[in-house]
Amino acid sequence: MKQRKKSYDGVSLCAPITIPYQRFSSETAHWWAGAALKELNSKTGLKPKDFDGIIFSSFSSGPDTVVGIVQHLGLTPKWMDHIPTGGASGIMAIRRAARAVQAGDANIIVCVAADTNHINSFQKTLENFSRFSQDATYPYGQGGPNATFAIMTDNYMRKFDLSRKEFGKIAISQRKNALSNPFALMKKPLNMKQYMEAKAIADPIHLFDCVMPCAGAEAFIVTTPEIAKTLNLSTVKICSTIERHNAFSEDPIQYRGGWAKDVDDLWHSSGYTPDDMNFAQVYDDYPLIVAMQLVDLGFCTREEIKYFINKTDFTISGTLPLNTNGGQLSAGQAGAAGGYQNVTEALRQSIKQPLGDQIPKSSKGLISGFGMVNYDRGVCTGAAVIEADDIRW
Amino acid sequence: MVTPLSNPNKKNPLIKSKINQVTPAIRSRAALAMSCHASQGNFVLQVCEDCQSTTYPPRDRCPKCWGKLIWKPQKRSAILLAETTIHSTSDLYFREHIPWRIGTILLDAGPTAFAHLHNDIKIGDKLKINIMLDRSGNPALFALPRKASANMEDDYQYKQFTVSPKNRRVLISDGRNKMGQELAKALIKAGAETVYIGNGDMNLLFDGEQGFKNNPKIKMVSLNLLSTKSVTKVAQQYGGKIDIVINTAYYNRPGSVAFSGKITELQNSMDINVSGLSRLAKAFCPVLSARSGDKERPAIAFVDLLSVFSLTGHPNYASMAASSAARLSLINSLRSEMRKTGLKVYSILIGPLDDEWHQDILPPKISHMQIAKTVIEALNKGQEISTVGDVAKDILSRWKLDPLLAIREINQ
Repeated sequence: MKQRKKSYDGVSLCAPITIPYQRFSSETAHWWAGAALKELNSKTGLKPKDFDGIIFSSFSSGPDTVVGIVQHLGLTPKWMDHIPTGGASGIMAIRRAARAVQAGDANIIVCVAADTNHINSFQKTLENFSRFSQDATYPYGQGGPNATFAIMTDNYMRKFDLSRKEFGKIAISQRKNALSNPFALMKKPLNMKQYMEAKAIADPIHLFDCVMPCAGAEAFIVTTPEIAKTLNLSTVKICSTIERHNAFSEDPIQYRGGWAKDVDDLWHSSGYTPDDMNFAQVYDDYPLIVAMQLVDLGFCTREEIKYFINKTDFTISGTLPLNTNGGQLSAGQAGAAGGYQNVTEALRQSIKQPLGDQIPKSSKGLISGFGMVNYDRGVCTGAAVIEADDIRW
Repeated sequence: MVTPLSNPNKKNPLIKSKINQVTPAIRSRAALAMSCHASQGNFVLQVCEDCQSTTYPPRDRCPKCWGKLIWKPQKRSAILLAETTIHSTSDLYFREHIPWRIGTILLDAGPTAFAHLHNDIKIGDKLKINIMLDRSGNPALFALPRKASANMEDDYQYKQFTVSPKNRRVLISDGRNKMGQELAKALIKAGAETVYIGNGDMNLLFDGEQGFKNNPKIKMVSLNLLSTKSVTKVAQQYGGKIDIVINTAYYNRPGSVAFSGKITELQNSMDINVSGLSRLAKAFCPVLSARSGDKERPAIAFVDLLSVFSLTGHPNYASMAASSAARLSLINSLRSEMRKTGLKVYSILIGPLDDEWHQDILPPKISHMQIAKTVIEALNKGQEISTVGDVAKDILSRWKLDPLLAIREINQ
């Protein structure tokens, strides 16, 4: 019954774009998506008619979905997809676009995530996030995702003997990485004392465990190596990917995600192991989720996670450079673009065009996504192993 | 352990009152169904008709086999798996109440759920779970200690879901009848600070009046439900210091529609039972609801006592039943209005009383003391709809199963 997955031959990821984030913006998601396409145009010369495929992700474009964006921004694609899965949307975009390009359904697909952040956007998104959250989460103190992740963190800490210090190490390392990223919203160095003494948000979550909602846009192109060459774009190959939704629903409280179901497939198909990875860009809405991904994606066992965090240097020049743009914890969370920034940063590091400091060795990397706390846990997970291909200057 | 509540301070008139806020109110239709069960104090979850698995949050189909779901009573027991204390929220209601503690409970019935937590429980504890109605009238799981702890009902979070009369000031709309008198005694016993007793005619003596005069916690006020002017005057004078209004007006004269009833009795029933309620609500609910967000001395509830025959009609008490039906209808509308303000509207459905006006009805009949006891229980438990006596319970359960059949049976 089990069929071998087809490789991603003939697919190139290229042209990572990040539009500098803003804490609040009076513009719309459409404006931000347009800004990303404009920036792509200035980098590649591609015009609206040149894109024959588009994937769009956003929380704040309502009532518009991808079709609204297509007409608003004047595209005429022969293939399109809307991926409303937040933190997992970037990985899912790679997977869908890659197969469309392989099949010849489209040749140049732009994947764009854009979200604005009005003064009340975050509140509105929470209010209308999902039916289960309206019925069974939101009215319970309305701590937002902070409260849900606080409960998960509380459980995980007790179960695997972690302390706030381990999560602090992750947040502090990412802040260090953010210092060289000119677009990061949080640019002050962070130390353990500041982390530990920060304002309590929802115990055990404190201020520096939380992302700052903001406006921004991220984009990249999925195409064939041949087209990338004509456009003189550096390319990155996809070695393998996984995706899983609503896994382990029997766990009373989430302590693992769908990655754990498919991790063997991920490494087996890629031909690499976690040790081969030069860097990891994992979804980081909270440090707990970073820790969970390190375990579920095979970097260490659950029992070793405390030791692994303590012994690993996650900074750009470290033993496992992690979230090298600062991640969302330090760069900001631009809604659904938060699920694409891990992809764009991975592509930039691979093709040696970083926003900030370059990872010394960056040919192979892991990207991982996590999204949609529909009720009490993140439902969508995905991951991709990538490798630098042609670097053009 | 919870520190017992002390009597709240007098309100400082120079401090701006907190405006009334309610909990987030958007819910699915399935959650509304859950709130109907919660309003009667029942603990229910959805069970699949086909595979019998229990599910939560409310769904429209079984997630195991896609069978149809039905609400069924469940064990209230659970344990606490993990918790958090929320210190930061963007919701205007909870901003007034943080820090607020919630946790994940594992129900013995199967599912896990978020629940509001009582102060006296910790991780690993065995719990008793209630489905309460929150400030917007929606179902909320509340976790209590399995065994009652000291002053359990005084817990800050729990009190946001109940309308306990302890330290409250209560108005009883008609204290001339026995129902009002027994209720006044029970309220004082339950810790009410002051009970204001409505008296429709101060010059006309009534049985039991002497007992009131000797009790310093009971104050008699001239309140005639037939007069808009009278009701408005009392609301203007006392509305700022009444936290709970209980409408005990009950006018009942036997009589059928065609043969034995009189049109004047119908008019009297309507004027006291229906217009009386309306006058009371119009005069008091605006001032009460404006104070429902107050921290120290919030106004909390409007309670109406009415006949269970409001659901079905009654062949020999046609005017009383008709006016009760109208009264029930008004209460439903009022509840919707007040839900946006946080003021609770409770209904107590009573069966036939054991008094001179229900002589030709067979027992079981209810005593005024039974009514008082049920009202206090409803307030303490935060239960929106209660019945008093076996007849009321029986009729309500028949009516829930098949309203048309219940109507036919009662009017046989």
